[in-house]
Amino acid sequence: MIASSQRSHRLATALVAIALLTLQAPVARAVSPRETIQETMDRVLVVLRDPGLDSKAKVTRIEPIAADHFDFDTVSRLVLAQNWKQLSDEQKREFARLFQKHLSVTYGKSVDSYVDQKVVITGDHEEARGDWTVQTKIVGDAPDDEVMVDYRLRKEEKGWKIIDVVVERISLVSNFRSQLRELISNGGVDHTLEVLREKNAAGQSILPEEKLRPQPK
Amino acid sequence: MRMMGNRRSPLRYLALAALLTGVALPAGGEPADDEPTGGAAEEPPGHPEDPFRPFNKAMFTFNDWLDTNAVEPAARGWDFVMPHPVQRGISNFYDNLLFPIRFANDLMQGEIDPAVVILSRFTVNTTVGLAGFFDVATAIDLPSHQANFGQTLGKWGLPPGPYLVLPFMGPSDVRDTVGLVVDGYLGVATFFVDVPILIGSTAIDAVNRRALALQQVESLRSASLDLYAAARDAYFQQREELVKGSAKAQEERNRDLYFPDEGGTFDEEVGP
Repeated sequence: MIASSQRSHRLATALVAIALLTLQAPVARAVSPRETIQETMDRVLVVLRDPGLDSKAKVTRIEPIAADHFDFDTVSRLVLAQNWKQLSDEQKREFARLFQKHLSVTYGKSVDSYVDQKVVITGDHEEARGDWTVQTKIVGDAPDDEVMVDYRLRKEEKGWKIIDVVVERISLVSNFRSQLRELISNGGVDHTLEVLREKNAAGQSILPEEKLRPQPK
Repeated sequence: MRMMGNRRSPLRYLALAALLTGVALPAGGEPADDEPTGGAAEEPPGHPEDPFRPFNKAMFTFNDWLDTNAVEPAARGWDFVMPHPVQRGISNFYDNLLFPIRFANDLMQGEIDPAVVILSRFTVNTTVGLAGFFDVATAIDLPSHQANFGQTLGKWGLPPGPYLVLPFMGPSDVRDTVGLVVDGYLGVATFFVDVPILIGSTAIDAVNRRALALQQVESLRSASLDLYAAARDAYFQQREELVKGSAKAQEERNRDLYFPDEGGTFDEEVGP
């Protein structure tokens, strides 16, 4: 009898636990912007610190993490700004693909310069119309060896996604918008896509292109 | 001999101005004379943010040429010979010499607490930090900050004027160019150093800083699609931040940058 009552007790506890879990589930899924950045950084740092991986393997592992947490479609729209409407749907897709690859190629190179820096989240705050900024700094050995990196996130169906990176007060979106305005007004959209293609080819991307977009829309 | 005695010769301006590159280009730490050029292209019509564009492009090309053919090779040699900690020490030494400029400008801006921090930094680093070679102050929680006369003029309400790429110095504007000259008079070099020493010293400072930025500049070059526009935008962003403070700059960034479909102000810009 004792055994059976214990069993039913355990069963009841399990049921309560499941009920609680179910109730909690939607709450637990609503990850905050800060947690999103923390999770992204943790995932990236695990890869960077892995002594068993060469730089190529590291980039191969980081690219899907970036693809999970960035919204490259919104980034593309923001950097093209008033030129966005000028592109055909096909050009838009092409641009988003090439631009994501450009970021991957250029920032992928920096995996080799990682020497055990740490990432510290220093704050976060709400921005206009529900966006969120999470402030971090990358800390090296020397106390003056710090880089401020802010992430701007936007809430989307699949959670918070990064739409801009502000390094030492310089917004990536603003900087590329200025460059793309220059390129497009000088040589048009096709020329711009060509410049991106050439840059990517020169940078020798490590992943085949189709793997760069794990969640086609 | 009057010429020799005159410490404020034009040559001196140039050398002083070059010494102050670190002030002209806030944060980041990139030397100004290594801004390389973007791809050559025809001049598109209408650049409200860059009315002196043909001149600026020419200067940018010149600076890029100078960097590729002289400054960067020198920096690579320097980097090969000088251990990294020594480079850091030299960089700290020159940064410490900017004390009078930062201190005076903090005061002119009414920024008393930052001025006290700068004064404490100078005292600690000049003594304990062995003439400034070691940045002890940052380690004891006295972080550095930028302060220059261009920024002071901005905080007093003067508009920046047109964008201007200066030879040797890189991105600037009319206001910051005036600031450079005024800061030149505030620099320690004005009082203590002879012209030949100053030129040599300036060269060492520039090459040393370029050596510290070798990797940054290389990745900047490969990351940019149009280096001229990239450098100009980076300059504008840092200037906004320096003059208006991060909160105000962020507020304007919100309006201009992130909601292009909802009447952000860039819709009114002259587009292609």
